[in-house]
Amino acid sequence: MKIFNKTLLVGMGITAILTLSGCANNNNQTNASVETRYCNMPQSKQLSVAIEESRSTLSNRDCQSDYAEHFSALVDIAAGEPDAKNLETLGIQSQWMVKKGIITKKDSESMLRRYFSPQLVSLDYESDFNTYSHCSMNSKQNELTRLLDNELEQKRKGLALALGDNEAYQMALKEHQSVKLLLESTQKACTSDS
Amino acid sequence: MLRPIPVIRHLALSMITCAVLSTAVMTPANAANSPQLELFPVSVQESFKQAEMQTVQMQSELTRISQEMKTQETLYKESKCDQLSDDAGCRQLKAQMREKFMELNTSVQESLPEVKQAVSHAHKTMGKSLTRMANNYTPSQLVKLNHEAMQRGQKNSSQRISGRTPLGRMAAMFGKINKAIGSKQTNLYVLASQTYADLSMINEELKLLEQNTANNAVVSSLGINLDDLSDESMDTIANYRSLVMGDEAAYDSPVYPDQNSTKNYEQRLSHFYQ
Repeated sequence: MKIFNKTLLVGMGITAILTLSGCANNNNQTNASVETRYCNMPQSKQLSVAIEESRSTLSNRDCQSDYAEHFSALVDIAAGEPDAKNLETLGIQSQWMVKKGIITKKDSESMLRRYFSPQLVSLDYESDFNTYSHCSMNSKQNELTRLLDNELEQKRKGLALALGDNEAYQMALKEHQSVKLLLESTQKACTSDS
Repeated sequence: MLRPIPVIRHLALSMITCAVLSTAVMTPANAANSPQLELFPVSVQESFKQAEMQTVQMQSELTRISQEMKTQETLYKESKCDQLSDDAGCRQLKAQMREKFMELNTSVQESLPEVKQAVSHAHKTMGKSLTRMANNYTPSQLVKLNHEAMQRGQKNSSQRISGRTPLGRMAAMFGKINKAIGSKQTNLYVLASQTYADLSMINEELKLLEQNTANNAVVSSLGINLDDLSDESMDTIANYRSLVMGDEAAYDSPVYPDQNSTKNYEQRLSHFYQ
């Protein structure tokens, strides 16, 4: 009888633990799904509507760290209807984000120039590449290449696709080619010399 | 009350001092900052001239032999000697081609060390120049310098070498680089980078050429009869000749269109973040 009671008590305890952990999981999943619903990327294929969706999401403090992905998504949506006027629309969206305290003016400047200027600018906003001599940055060559390649891709989406400005994108492409040659050759020279 | 003469003297003295100081400050520092002198100082330009001289000299010595070889090859093909391997005349022609080839090989072997030294020196001085620049600038600054050069309408055209580099092209390359350095239309940053990359490749080609000529000399010294060599070997000989001499056809890199100003784009964007 005593053994039976002990067994019963242990069984009830295990059941209680399992039930409680199940409830906790459900709660977490519920929280996660709530968070997912809040921080959705803009879904509409129409830019003006997508911007409203994005603003609605970014107004939630929990979602503001996604601003860069949101902007990228908006540029992709703008590419569905390439037009020089898209620059005005996206520029205003960037200004809105500054006004709401989601990003700083510097962030806005960096983002707009990366997407919509033919000039390569990403290194200007990276502390190390602005501080140390090129020769001393041997270990960061892969990161350097990645930054420049990413920026070129952003310009392709922004200039060529969203604005329909192929000429500007070609300027960026030429600059990208010459910059990569310059940086790779000088880095090889640094390595050979050391 | 101020006496006029001492005042004038004082002013004159100040002006002269200013003039002397500004000249002293401006001339050496600013001159050193000009990309031409920064990337292609006198030592680099001299090494290119030396390399050009050596390759042109070597090329002119080999031109006669090469032309004679070409005549022999034409005759060999027109006589259909590749199908008449037992013909006495074809065998004699093959032997003559063999001799001519070894003459070419020997001439290359004799001239090559000086050319190698000149090219190696040019490669080293160019490398030092680039290293000096890379130690003075951050990656971000280098990107800006290149951008400014492109904005000045300076083109990226230069004679790129890719793949195997015949001597004929090497000689032409050095000549054209020297011209490009002096031209205001050249993006010197890209020219320096391309030149260094090309010199690295040429250095390797010259090493291969040195090995080939040494191998050929060994084969010849073993007395291997050309009659025993296949037509495949004849192709190899033709390729070798082409490597040494090649065509002097211009080997232009794509000439980039004039770079339009990015200033308008930057002004347009600044409206949104200022």
